[in-house]
Amino acid sequence: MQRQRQENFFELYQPSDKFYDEVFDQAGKVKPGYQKIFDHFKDLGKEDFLRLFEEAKTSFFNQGITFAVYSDTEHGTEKIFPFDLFPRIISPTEWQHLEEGVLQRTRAINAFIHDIYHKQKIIKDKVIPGELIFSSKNYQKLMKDFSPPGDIYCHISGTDIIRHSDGEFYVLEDNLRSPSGVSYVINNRIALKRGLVGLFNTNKVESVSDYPEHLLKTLHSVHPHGMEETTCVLYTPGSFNSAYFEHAFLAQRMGIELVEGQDLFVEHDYVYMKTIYGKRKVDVIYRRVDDNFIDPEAFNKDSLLGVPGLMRAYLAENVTLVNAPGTGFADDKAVYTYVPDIIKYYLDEEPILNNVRTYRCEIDEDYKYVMENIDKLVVKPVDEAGGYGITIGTTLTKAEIKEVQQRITADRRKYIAQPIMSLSVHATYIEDSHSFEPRHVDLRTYTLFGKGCHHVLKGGLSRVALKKGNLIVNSSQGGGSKDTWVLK
Amino acid sequence: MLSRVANNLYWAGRYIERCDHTARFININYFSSLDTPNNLPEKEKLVLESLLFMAGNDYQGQTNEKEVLHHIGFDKDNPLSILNTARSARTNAHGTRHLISSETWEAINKFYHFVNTYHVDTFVSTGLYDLTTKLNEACSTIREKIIRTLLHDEVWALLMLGIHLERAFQITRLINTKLLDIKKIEAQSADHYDLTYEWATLLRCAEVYDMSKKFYRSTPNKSQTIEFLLLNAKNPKSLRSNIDKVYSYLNRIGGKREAAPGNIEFEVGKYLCELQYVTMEDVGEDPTDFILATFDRLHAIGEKFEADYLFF
Repeated sequence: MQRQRQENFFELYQPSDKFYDEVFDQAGKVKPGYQKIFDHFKDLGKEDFLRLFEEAKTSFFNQGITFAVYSDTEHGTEKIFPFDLFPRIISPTEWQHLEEGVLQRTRAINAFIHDIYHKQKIIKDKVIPGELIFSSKNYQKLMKDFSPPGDIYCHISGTDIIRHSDGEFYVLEDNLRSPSGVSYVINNRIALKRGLVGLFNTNKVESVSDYPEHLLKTLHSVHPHGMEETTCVLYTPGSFNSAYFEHAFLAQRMGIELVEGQDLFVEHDYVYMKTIYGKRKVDVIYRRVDDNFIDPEAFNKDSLLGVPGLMRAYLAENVTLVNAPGTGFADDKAVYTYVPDIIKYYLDEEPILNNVRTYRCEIDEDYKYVMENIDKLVVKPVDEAGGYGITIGTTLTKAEIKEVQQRITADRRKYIAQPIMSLSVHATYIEDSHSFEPRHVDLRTYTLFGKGCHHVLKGGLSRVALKKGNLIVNSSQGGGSKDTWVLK
Repeated sequence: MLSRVANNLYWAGRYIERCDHTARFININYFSSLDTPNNLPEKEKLVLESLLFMAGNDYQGQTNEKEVLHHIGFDKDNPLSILNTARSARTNAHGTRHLISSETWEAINKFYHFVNTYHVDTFVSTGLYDLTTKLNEACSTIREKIIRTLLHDEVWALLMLGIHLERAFQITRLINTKLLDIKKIEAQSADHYDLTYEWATLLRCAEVYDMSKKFYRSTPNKSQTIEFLLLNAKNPKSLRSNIDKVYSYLNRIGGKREAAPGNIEFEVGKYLCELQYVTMEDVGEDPTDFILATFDRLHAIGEKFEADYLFF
């Protein structure tokens, strides 16, 4: 009977020789780290599994971890983000390598941003071309010669990592503005713990629930000079923002106010919030609003989300913004290609994590290669997030290739190209076939970097492309997520 | 506490309580009417008018039961429909979810989804009892979560203040609606008509029928019913008890702020004192004027509270 169940669950599972499979080896045998989980699902049977799957979905729904769908016939029908019950496992050794790697990147990137807004030595030493930085719309002139507390710009960063067919991890991109998704990490774990109790007895898994405490500690560590009692707030664009659940969740877990622009005002270069007892000074703002919208006096004049004078208060060192304004130029996809050089330049260390070989279309030689090999490359605009504007060579028709070539030629600075990386696959429950099938996954890690403290969330968000063969895992492109276990 | 968030908490409390009362009123009044002792020619029309009046709008001229129920329950264009009230409760709570407990938020979220996914056709045909009863249970669960899972601080006090001020309003509305019903019944009845059934219905709409009988040891009459709902200090649903609660929650919110002429603490304190010394003689044989004056007073309290605490 047990064997019957096992066959049913995995009968459609076809291990591929083209991709690295996280769960099965090339002979189709379960890898040792996954054996206990595999056995658990094998013993569970389809009926029990489906019940747990539905319970997990209901739990997400009741908690409001949803996004609204608006159509002519339905007002605000809500859907949950797809979630998979089969956790992704990372061994302690692999994790140590990843953790050291992302911390190294964060340290180097902070030193890089500080240098760019001060002496610009890296440009003078011709390691990185100045026009690459200054042409970025995310470079903020206002930040020139300003030093935030501890010289820290990126307090919170998200690093997107994949495992290629060679079994090695590669960094795909750094997210240095407002990386989102950490609330899903914590809630995926809660859902999995409720549903698969037995699994946690046989596997020793690192906790992810302490992230909000580390985040609060990070915020406190960068308070403005001389402020004894620090008031931290989380600044959200508002309840209609797609990440509002996360903003509310983190504010609640940290026990701090969740403010909108309309709740704040600036007086004599200090920031205050409007409370039922009058005004109250704010010292550290974890903002989940883009640079462009935080202050209509300094940036986008039409911003209704912003706080007039916020940048004045910031530059007067009366309030700390987390992350600092103007970090975005450093996660530009064209700058990404220089991160290994940046690490060597500032830290005098070899990069721990691999970068993907990247062709910069603004360089003649690279441009020529890209134009001749579009069918083998992923072409990305340097300044778009969320998977928008990406083309994957193998899926393009001849006409489409021509179109991409024209687009690149019209604005070479805007595009980079990379070899098509074979994201590893992971057994994932597919509702349509009622069985586990291999699907591509990546991993977003979360790094906190404060004054005298740092923390890497032990796990991260394993995003999974639910559509067969799809390599883009972003939720805006129909991706789901998995709980990620770092074993002790 | 941010003023905007305080506003959300206060209105979340008010909408939850409003939804609870509307649902119970529809349930009790509708089912009571099915076997009412009065044999008036237009008794069905009377009930529908009563439901519409309590639900806060005229929607005059409608005598089609399904249309009236749809309008009160699920009409998207009716800001006071149960669906829109539940949505408003949830929208306000959504803005406060970082301050309230996960348990309270989940209870409010589930309550909203229950209404939002309820089949309208079922409601207007066979689901009236099911929807309203479950809504009342959901509102009880929410209040229980508020009381048992929140710190008893200003977040809790704002929610509770909203609940009790709304309850004071709703109890007054209940009496007002029933007085109007009775006037219509009396106008249509040739002979003297025994109103015991109507007073009992009114008490059941406020969930205090049993306790009223226990207190007076008799079948309900007009004077006792009005007194029990307006002035009784032990009845948790009475106007007086709820103003008492509003006063105590205000003190939680205001901390050490003292009552002084012109502020909300003073206004509510003064009103509470007055209610403690009102008699049924003051209310009068026809309580309509007293009820209308009560509405004015409650509106003034709501506006003063918002001006003192919610608008920065």
